[in-house]
Amino acid sequence: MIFLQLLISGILIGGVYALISLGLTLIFGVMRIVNFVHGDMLMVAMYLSYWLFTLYSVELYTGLFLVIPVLAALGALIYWGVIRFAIRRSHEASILATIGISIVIQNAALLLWSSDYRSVHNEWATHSLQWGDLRISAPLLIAFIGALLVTGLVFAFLHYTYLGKAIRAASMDRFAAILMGVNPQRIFTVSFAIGTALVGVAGALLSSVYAVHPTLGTQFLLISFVVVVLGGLGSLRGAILGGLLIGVVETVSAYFIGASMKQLVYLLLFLVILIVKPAGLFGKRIPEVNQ
Amino acid sequence: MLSIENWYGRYGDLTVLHDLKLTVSSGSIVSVVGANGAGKSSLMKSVMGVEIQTQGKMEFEGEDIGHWSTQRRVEEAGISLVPEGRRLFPEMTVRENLEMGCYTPRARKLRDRGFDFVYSLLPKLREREKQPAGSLSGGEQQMVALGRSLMSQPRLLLLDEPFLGLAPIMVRQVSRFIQELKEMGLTILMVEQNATSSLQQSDWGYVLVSGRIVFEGKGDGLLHSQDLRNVYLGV
Repeated sequence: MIFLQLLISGILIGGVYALISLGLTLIFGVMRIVNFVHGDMLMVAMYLSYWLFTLYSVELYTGLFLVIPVLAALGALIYWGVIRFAIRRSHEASILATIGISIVIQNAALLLWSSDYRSVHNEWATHSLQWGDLRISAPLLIAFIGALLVTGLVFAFLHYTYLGKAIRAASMDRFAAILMGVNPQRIFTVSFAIGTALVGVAGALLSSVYAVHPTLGTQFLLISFVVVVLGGLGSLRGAILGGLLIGVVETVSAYFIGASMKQLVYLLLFLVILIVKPAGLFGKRIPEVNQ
Repeated sequence: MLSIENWYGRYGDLTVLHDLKLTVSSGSIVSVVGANGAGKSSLMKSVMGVEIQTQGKMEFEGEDIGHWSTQRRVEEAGISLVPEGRRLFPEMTVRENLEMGCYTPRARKLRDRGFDFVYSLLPKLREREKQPAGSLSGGEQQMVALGRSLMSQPRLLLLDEPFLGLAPIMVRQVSRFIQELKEMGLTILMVEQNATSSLQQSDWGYVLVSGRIVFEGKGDGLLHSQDLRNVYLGV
């Protein structure tokens, strides 16, 4: 019974990890850059939801309608302001650039909002559903359902719209996509905006589950790296399965080994994957793309 | 239709195309042949304005398009490249690959007509419609790549090594297909290492050696000339 409980909790949080990782892997797949700002965007979205709720009593789920466009705009801005220049240079340049932005954002958050932990206490926050011995946290369940819906929307977008298909095409073969008349700058901007908006949705959904503080992003960035590498860099399906798997592994190990040690387990898992199957579950060896 | 003159191409400091002069007249097939590394693919990329920096004059129907973006060359001029090695989108279905071919707004308006046209010319693609492009054989992939370019409603079709890696029977089939396209009024510029297959059906040919055009002449005339044999052993 306890195992079922852990499995369900793990899958629920895993769904949110999947959503976070989906954005990361989308950006990687199209631009081949590892985006260290990704976790901080989660933090920004959580603060945004927190302040909307605290100052203006905007419910988290209504707040999404503001969080999504703001985060998308922020993503586009980061791309146009910085990444666009770094991407033409080496991998190291884009890594350093995104780490740089990450430091700026974290410190800005520290300056603006101090290092206090803040969480949204809405009416759902402490609710849980109960079936026999099973307890399911209401905000987590809502977060999972929200993540599922948004993931479905992203897949529909990528498969049934021209822009979405162009994004997939560019991530498979950028050169060929350009030959089709695809404007790569436009695709990069849109991908960065969508990737950031996705992590924004995750942030809003999580703001009643976790307390937000300026360096919260780092811990989620680490998780999403593990998820993305596990699933295969750039693979969207991989990100979803990887997210669910890491969610379960983390929850189970937190119960049996202790919450402070749970990172150890998935980091070990991460190492094993890197050694045994470096391309990940759904990964292929991706050619380097030069521009 | 297309003329380039005083044309240079370089990757950073490395100049790979030197002072080229080349003309493709409307409705003709023109081939540029040369050995590996002669700069054939670079020439194709330079006409598309992708991946290579260029200098010189390029006119398309009298208009100077040397500074145009790739998108503009595809959409407004109607130039389309079937790249070396096909470069399909492997995890997309055949149909999705063809759809990417009509990505530009101009071609997208003619999407249905494009599909009818391509499927009537290449009925095999309709059967394979739902398969991932990466799962097809080399010859079939070449057909998808050709179909994808045709979806863009091109006026000038560029072919980069269309016969590379194909079985002899497929070489004949692709060759026949190129002829059909010409008869339909398309203008074709191809670069090939296989001088026999390409020059045979060309109205005019150029020989490219180390990024320079060393000879030109009527397609089959050039094929049988001693000059070509001298620079180009193994024909």
